[in-house]
Amino acid sequence: MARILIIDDSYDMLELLKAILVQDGKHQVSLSPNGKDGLAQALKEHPDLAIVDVMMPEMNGYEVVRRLRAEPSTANMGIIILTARGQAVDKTAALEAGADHYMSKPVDAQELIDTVTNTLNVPQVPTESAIYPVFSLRGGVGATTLAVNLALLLQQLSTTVLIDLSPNSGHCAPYLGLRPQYHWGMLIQENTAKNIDSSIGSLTLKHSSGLRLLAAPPTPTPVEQLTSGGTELLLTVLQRYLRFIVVDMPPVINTVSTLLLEKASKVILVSGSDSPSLQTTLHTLKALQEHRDKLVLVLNNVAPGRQLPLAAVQRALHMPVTVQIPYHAPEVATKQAGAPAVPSQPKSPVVVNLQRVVRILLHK
Amino acid sequence: MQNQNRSQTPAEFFSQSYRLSCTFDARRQSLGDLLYTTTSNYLMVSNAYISPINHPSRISADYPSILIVKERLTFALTAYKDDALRRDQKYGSYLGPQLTAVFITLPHFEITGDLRLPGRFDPRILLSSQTEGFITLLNVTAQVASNPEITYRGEASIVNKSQISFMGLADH
Repeated sequence: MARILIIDDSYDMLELLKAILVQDGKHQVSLSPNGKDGLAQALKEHPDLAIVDVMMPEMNGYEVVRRLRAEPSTANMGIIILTARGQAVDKTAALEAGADHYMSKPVDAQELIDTVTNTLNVPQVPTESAIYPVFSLRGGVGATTLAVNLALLLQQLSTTVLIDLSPNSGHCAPYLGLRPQYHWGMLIQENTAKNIDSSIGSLTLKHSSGLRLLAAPPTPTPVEQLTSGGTELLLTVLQRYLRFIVVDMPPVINTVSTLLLEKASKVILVSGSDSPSLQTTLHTLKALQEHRDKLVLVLNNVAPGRQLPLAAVQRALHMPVTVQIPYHAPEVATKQAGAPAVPSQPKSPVVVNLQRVVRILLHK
Repeated sequence: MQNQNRSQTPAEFFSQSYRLSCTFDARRQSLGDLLYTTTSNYLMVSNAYISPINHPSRISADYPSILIVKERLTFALTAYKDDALRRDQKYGSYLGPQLTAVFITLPHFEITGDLRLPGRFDPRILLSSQTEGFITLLNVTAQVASNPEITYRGEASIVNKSQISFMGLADH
């Protein structure tokens, strides 16, 4: 049984949804007749899930969802948008606002129960450590930016380390405002878990959010110096202490990246939307065929201007895009100033869409 | 809290730059009956929410009631065809309805759908300003010309003839 808040300005709809969820779903349901009151009720009661109408007086549903996602106490709750606006663009708008699912009216009772059940299963921090590589074989598509912000969001839920596996002086440390005085290059000579265990604490850099960073060496390091055996030992040690391990992967498929892909709970595959990026992503998808069920495909628009339609991208890749992140000029400016989006622009499209990625990663 | 009347039927109205999502009272008349009639230049709708056509997630304004100026309307869209067809269109003529695939350009929109006409199709009569002010299409997809990723679909659409610039006909 879950606690569900329904926000809708139609009395008939409130009563109908309540009847379905109480009788068939055995849930505990509370009701709110408009967006403003519903938002206040959600912030006070912290329900497990909110079902939100869009067209409501005083505050529309998109705004309610945006504000719930912006509040740390409700940022990870389940949210379903249920609206009479039944166009494809309305689904996109609902998901962009931060909803987990979208349903159009009139509502089918079984579909509602199924969607509620699916959504309730989402935001659960795993009891075992999870590894999330952020991967792209093409540079310049914003993979490092996404890895840093994803790690910061996961840190809000539990202990997280970000590993910057770039062999050519990575960018995670400067992006977090840290100096890479310690880095994984110093671990290359260590060949036992005990040795790594004794030195790992002093080699990770700590961000003010609590996020730990295992930085890349500041000077180029031969790739072959990082072995799959050493990486496996490193992961074993980190998994003892930390719940989430985010890896900013090098743009290569070698023994180390293969190991990480195998050990990953989910793999965040980042693609740009320009033709060369899509070509690379298509080839990457073929190379990662055996990991396909673990892939979370993120389309990151890193340049302004018109983009290929999402439907065309999905047709080209033969795969649905899980999350599309629009170009957002202020995020680029703050990144250049060394401030990640999560703390500096928590309502930016980058953060809102990465919160969706987090919910997908944590889906059981 | 509104105790909404069950006869309130959802519909979407489009002008040059805006989309209006609302409901209309369908107890006695369909949307077709309300729009085609020349006894009124306006149409009153309820629970109205206005968004820019290029920004579906932005609701610019909402009002319990809004008046729509028929002659400035580009087209209207309904999810179900029975909500849009006029009484005489629902029951048809003894010839039965003919469906003709068409492509129409309107300000900011490109529309594809099936033109539903009783009897033989004659485009000269159809688009004549002397006849009715609107035409009815079925199985409609409306695409925003400047942003083809944004499309609106419905079982039926009522299009303002005076806003049509080009009409492409299949098999004519």
